[in-house]
Amino acid sequence: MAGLLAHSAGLSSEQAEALARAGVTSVCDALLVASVDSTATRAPSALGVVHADALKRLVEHCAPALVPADVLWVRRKAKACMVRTCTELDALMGGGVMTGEVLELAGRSGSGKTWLCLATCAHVALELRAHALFVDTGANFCARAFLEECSRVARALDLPDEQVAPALRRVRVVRVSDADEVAALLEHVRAARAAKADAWYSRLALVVVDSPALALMPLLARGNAGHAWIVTISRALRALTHCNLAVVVTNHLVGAEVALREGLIEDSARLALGSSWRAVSDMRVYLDAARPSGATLAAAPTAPCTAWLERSHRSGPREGSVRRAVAARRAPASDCQ
Amino acid sequence: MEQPGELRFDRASDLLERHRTRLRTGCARMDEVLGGGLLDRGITEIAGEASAGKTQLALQLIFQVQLPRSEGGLQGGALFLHAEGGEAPVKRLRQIGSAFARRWSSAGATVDRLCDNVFIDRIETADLLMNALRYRVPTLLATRAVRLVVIDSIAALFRTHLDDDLPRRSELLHAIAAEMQALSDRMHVAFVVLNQITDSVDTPDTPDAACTAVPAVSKRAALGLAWSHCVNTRLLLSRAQARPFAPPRLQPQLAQLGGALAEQQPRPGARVELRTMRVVLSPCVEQRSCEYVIDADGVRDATDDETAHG
Repeated sequence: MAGLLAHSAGLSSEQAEALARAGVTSVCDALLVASVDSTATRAPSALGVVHADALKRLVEHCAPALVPADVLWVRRKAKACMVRTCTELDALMGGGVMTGEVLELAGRSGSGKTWLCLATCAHVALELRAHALFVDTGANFCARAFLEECSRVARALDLPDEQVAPALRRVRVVRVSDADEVAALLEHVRAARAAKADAWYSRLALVVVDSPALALMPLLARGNAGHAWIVTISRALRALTHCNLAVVVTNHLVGAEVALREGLIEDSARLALGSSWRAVSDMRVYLDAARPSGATLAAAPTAPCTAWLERSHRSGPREGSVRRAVAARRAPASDCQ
Repeated sequence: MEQPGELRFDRASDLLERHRTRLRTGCARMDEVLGGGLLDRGITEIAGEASAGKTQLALQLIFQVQLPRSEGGLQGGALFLHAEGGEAPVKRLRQIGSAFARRWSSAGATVDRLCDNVFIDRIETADLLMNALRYRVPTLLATRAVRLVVIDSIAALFRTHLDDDLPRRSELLHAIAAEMQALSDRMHVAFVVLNQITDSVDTPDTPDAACTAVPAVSKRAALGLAWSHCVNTRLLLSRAQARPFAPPRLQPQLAQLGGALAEQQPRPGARVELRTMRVVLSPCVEQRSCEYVIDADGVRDATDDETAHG
């Protein structure tokens, strides 16, 4: 029995040695002995009663039992909760983003990505009364704008104004400047969440990263190194979803200036984080402030996205759209003096 | 739980007070549109065609930043990094400085004292800008209370980069932006970056319209979409609506009342060009626009007369 395996399964060294003495030296042995133990009803076990538990844990670690879909569904429903973004986008996504999912908001600068991130944080803080973490790579978090957004969400939810101030205390902002810090921070959050020691992280429901692309872009020109960073950060984000957290990330649209001049805008604009990043998100929404369709759902496990794509092409400017929501919901910043 | 590295976790409620500070532009209407003024952190881009007034606004900000915080300044000097061809606009700087000193003479402002807090440096290439941001600017910021760095203009530095060198150009642009953001965080300095604009052709949305309609030509800031994500605020200046100033009808009577009063008004036939500032991108205010005028004293609000009769 490899000591490393026994250690990762959480066995003590005595347990590992006892298993080795009983002839269990590999995973195959463990599985075999376990199956003989469970099928042979009266036969005395090759291992003592004390070590049957160790064997069971080892088997669960090496070959976890398959879980039926309905059991998974019940488990997930018991744990997961719905995080809302804004009315129009929620309708598009089938209710919002669940904890355990990654929502990606892609769009040009000024299309409302950061605003939607703020709106989602506000919903978490006010509606779920849970905590949210805003990872700010581009210094785009404005507390004044977030206060306005919280006030607006509170009005929409018919909550008294007194609830806005506590909501602001539930949201924390971290300013990070490079990919290294983003990766370190995400791992820190995952570890803190798994340790269950810090009450703040136990009530965390949402992590917003606005935007990973800004931290990664300086590295992308370096070929493989940039690619490795994309994979590192996308895995760190996926790891957060396994801790029952909702994750919202933004992605940029970039395009060469040459193409802009030739009028090939839509065709040439592409996602800043492209194919290696694609696997990160469960849902991707394209935001477009200039086009009438407003938002397009491009990939989603919960909603039939192709149907929407067709509808979005046909819909005229009078259809409900996120673009209009962005325009209408941004209250004038008169008290920003 | 140990925090990773030097990262700070701030509550949104604690940031409210810190995010209240603004650098006023000196035009009441412009400040109103901007939600009180420019941000005192991060990168603010001022884009516009040639002679839209980008440099003029930047020069005015160089003096505004020296005001005490109660008056909408940041209580610090300014660094002007000149990257356009030709001489740095020192003459115009003193001209605007004189008008500014007159306005604040009660506070003891003189044009010499104001200009003492302005540092001017010449930058020839993008690589030199990167070097300056890494070494020279931090040294200056450490020894002098500089709260504003103006780069005039970022597009001029990349004009020499050929289109086939895009990856290198993009890497350098992002590195420069990251360096500015890091400096802004560390040394509490605001960056104002001037940018040029290029014409671009917008294709209409629907296929039907694409066949018949003439594509609209719109103005876009240079350096492309990737750069647009690096800036926090983007202001677009234009003089597209520049019109000659038509004197109001009361003018003859006013002239009879006294020469002094008439001198306040522009002479009949004189051109007062109304210019427009539009907020294209901002983390805290919606997209709005306002009109302004540039005269000998700098950038100011358009008066009601000019807006109505212009």
